[in-house]
Amino acid sequence: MRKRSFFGQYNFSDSLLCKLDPRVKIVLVFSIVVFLFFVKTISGYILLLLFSIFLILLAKSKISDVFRSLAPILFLLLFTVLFQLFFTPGKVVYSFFFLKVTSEGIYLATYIAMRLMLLSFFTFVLTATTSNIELTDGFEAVISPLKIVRFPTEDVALMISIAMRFVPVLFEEATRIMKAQTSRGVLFNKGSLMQRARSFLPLLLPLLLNAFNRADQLAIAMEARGFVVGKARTKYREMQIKKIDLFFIFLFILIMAASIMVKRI
Amino acid sequence: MNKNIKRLTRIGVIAGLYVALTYLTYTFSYTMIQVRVAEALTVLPFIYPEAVWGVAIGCFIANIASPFGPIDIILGTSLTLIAALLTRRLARTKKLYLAPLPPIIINAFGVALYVTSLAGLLGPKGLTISKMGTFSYIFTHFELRPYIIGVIWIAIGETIATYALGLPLLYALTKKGEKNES
Repeated sequence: MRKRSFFGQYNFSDSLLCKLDPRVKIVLVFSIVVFLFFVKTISGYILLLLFSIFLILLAKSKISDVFRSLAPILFLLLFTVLFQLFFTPGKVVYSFFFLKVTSEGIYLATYIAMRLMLLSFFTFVLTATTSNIELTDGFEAVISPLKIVRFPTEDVALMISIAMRFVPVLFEEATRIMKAQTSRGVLFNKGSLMQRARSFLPLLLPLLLNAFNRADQLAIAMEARGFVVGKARTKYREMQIKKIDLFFIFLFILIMAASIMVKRI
Repeated sequence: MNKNIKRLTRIGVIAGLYVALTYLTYTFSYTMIQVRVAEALTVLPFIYPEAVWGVAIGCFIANIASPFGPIDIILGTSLTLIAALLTRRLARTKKLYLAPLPPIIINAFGVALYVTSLAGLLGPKGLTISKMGTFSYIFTHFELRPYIIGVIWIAIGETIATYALGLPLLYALTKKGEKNES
């Protein structure tokens, strides 16, 4: 088992981005991702792509990690590019039997491929530079305005941290059960997709029942320590917006403004 | 014991389990047909009411690492929550085999919608970048085929996870007399 964050991406470094306030990072990444849909030029995307590469370098991430984060959408990326390339009507540049490549198709394919890459690059920067605890605290702060509509943000934040805390434990338990069941003859990752999915039942059932036991024990422990649901709590770590955060907010706004204003190519 | 604390911790571990399973079967989750083993847990609201929030929060955390990031976090989680609420609703029918239907249907139609529109596949006829993503354009030039392919694609993966794994899990759990213990 690999010992690292379960997102498989976070690596602690002394980079500037790791020191940023998680709330600021979350809001900035969310807003730039929404913003991607308003940029309608390839030159705007090139600017954003350069910016995302700058951020990745600043985060001191390994190139291989960046590419691994792309792996899940590789198929979609390929399919989309081919689809746009061959099925967009317009001025034909090149034809091969029934396949026609149009200039509009090339343009669209590049644009969409860049959009998908930008999406995953910016998300990568967030998860590569923010630890699980910071992410939980950050998301709690970001959703806290929902309190107005009586959404139990504190309870949700607590459930998220319980979940995060249990992931490594459950993960280890799962590996152990998998080994135990393999020794009894269960074949994981063999056969058709259907059989492979089904082979997880001898893993899932004990895992789930054990998890419930753990949950009930945790509930007893929490109650014994005087925990009351819905009561306001204080934090061990207080987040603070620093000068560097303000600088990055400014930088993001600048880049966004520049990318929407660059001339169309 | 205080039922509320127990509910809270159970939601937490179900969410944790969802994330652990997603991570454990990471490579399996991203083959050509995506089978997210963790999606088998979406049948749980049928017997455990606390699983509604469990799978929603689990999906939220798991999606933080998704390459679509914020889009998956917000839209994917909402869809999972809606499906879980519907599954909970279906529990009244007492027919176990109905439990996987909401996650399959909601995810297939919902996720396919945002993935295909993200990839610009919804209206490729005469599409230009400036028109892309505008609602009026998508409505007037709606291209059904790529969307339907997307729907079927996701439905297959979801069906494998829920019917091949989720449903047997549900049967096993109800047989064990664990039903609605809390």
